[in-house]
Amino acid sequence: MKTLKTILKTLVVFIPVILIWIYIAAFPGSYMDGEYSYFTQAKDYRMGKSSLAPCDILILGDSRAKSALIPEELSSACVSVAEGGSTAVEAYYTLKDYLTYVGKPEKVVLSISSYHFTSFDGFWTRSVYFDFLSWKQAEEVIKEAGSNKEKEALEAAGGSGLLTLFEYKIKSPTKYMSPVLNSLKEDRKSINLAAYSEMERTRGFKSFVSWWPTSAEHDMEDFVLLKTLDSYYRKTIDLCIENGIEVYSVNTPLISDTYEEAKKISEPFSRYFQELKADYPETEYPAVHIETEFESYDTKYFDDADHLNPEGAKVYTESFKDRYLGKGGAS
Amino acid sequence: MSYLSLAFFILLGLVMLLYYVLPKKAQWIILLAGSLCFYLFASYAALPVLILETLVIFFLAQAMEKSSWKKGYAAGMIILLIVVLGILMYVPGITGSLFGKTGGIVGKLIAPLGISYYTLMMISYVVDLYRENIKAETNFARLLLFALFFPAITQGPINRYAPLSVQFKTEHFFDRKEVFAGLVRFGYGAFKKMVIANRLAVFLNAVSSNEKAAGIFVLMDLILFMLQLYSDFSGCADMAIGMSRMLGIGLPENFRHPYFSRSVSEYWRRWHLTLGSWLKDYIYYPITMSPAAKRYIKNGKKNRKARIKFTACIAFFVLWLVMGIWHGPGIMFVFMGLQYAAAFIVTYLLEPVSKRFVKNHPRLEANPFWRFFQKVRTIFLLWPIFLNVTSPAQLGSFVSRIFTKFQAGKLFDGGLFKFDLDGLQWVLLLIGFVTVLVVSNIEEKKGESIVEIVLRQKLPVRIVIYWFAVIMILLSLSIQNTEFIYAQY
Repeated sequence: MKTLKTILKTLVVFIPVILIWIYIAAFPGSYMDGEYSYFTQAKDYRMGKSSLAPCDILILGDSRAKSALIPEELSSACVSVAEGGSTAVEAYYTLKDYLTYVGKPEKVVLSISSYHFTSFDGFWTRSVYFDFLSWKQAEEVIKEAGSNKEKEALEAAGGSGLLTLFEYKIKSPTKYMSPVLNSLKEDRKSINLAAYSEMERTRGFKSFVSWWPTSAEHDMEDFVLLKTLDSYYRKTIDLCIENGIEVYSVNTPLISDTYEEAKKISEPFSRYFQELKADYPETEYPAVHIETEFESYDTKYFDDADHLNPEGAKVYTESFKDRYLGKGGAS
Repeated sequence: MSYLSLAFFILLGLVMLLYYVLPKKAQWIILLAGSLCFYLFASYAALPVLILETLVIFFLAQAMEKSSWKKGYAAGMIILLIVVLGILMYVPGITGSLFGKTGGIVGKLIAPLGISYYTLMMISYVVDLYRENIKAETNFARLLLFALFFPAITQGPINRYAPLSVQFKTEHFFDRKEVFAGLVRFGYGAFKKMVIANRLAVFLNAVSSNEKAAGIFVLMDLILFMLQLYSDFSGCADMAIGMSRMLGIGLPENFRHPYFSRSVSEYWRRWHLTLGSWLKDYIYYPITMSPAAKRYIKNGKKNRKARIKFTACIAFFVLWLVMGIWHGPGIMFVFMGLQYAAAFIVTYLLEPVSKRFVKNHPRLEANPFWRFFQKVRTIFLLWPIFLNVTSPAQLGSFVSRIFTKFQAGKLFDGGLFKFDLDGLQWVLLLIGFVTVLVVSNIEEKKGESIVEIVLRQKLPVRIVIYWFAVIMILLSLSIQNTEFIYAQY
């Protein structure tokens, strides 16, 4: 009886924590920022829960890919599930789930910038935070990073391993109180609903309002490839080959202002793709197209130093079509 | 591993469970295992060094007890402890250039968690042994537990061997009330750290890193740092004392509302008490009671008082210089030591004048303005400016902006919110500050800890208090938790 009383008393003390915890777990769309909906829509799509029809071309990659390729210009059934801060890790699991729950696209466009081969970037702060990756998927990444001795890189991205993953998965207030508090300042439920609808309407295309004054290549000191991210990139290509899907590994344009300066990164990055191309010759079936060079676009085509604006996206999407799909788009 | 992380709560929970469930004879072993786990997570590369160093001290201490050349052994052990501290803490530049940058194992080896606390505790062990106040520990694992006891290793309190080792040998039974009281004390520490210190860290870091910040904000930085330092440091002490109490182990108090002090000497009887008593026992007294000092005082028959004062001043000077250097490498720490030495020496020398003044004005003692003036004067004399700035250049920049670019108007035109804390966060900070101020006043008046006062209240009152604290802490989870300031020293 005494023990029960103590337990009850303790529960009463922690009622505010319990209530907040329930709110965090049950209503993420009410307090998360708009980017949550981009990831949720992408996850819903790959799990077959979206209203969008299965695609013929699936675009995988990071924010540069999201803002550079306009799905509806490529084909009537193209969908982009590229997301900001994503690396080959997110690309691989998105494709894997899509193949399991939805079906097989004809083509996969894979576009990840150099920075996302050197950093896990949004692994913790987006993919795990937004519940984009399952426990098993995230655990695999953590283990592979550990076996590749890249735990420090994973820590630099904002988490330290399974315990951090556990905190996110149990929706611990230690991880989610910041957006809860910020949601007091704006109606995040409406923002999220609108963002989700926008993603459905544009099929995953998103133009970014300027935020980076300098490009990622400008800010990077050198190109140090992470083995884990290389491995996931290759696994994504292998998954396509296993399923008879054509792969287009493409590089979105760099801003002309800093193109020369960016060579310190783009040249070793280009060499990486040359090695990759040697490992996946185009002659094999299904076709694997790996771009090894980088083109530059005038500053007027950019929203910020990293992302193309809608006009730039139109030009780039046209050029992509010309190169790989023919004038009429996807067959 | 922070005291405020999930990993630590899991560790503490496991330690408590095993501590009270397993046979009582194994309790100290559970504490040692918990301490080693804690240290492994926090500063794994340094653990072998500290274990090895403790092992050497363990054997040398036993040898000293049997030897007739105790002085030599004691000096050798103290030199060893200081040299290791010096290598690990004071020459990171050398180790850095030898082994590359600060990443990896070497990076963690350079500044092991709590190395300076460890060193002070081990020196006290050696000196107490030399003075024959204690007997040498015959079990290495028990000595290691004293050195690495996880509630205190982060930033104290600085424990003495005798009282702690007795408690490690005592059997502790689960006492629901004591565990809960410990939890409340831990919660109050977490409140101070999360509601006040972490929030202030955001603002102060933003101001310090902005070279264009107006003088008004720089002045706020210098003033609010005192509050951050107190909330952070005393918050950690509350957590350490609280979690020890949950284990049935009493740790010494480290703070008694230092900002209520009316004199410099009183301040040091209220701030970082365990460091103060350590400095007194192992530096001040050894200097003033040394044969050389005694000879010097004895030789001057005419001006004996002046000689006593001079000896005390020398001791103060050495003591505060050591205190400054103990904080780590850097000229600012030396300046801090000199500032405190000057404050102490000047107030010590002026003490007769001050006493005479108060004697001639008996009403002053009851005058609240006089008391307030004394408090402000004390705070001003011991303003930890040199702990707040990283270099003389930064100090120069701060002072220059206060005098040439004060721009007080910026405080009211939204400028305050440009330093990473918005209006809501400032309100929460203010609520936290007022709470701690009220609690401190109550503790000061009643002469007992807020924990005991809260636990005596009726259940509904207690629940309201707990809910207030829990909600404030929850709302503070939106702020990034920062390392404890003194964990780096």
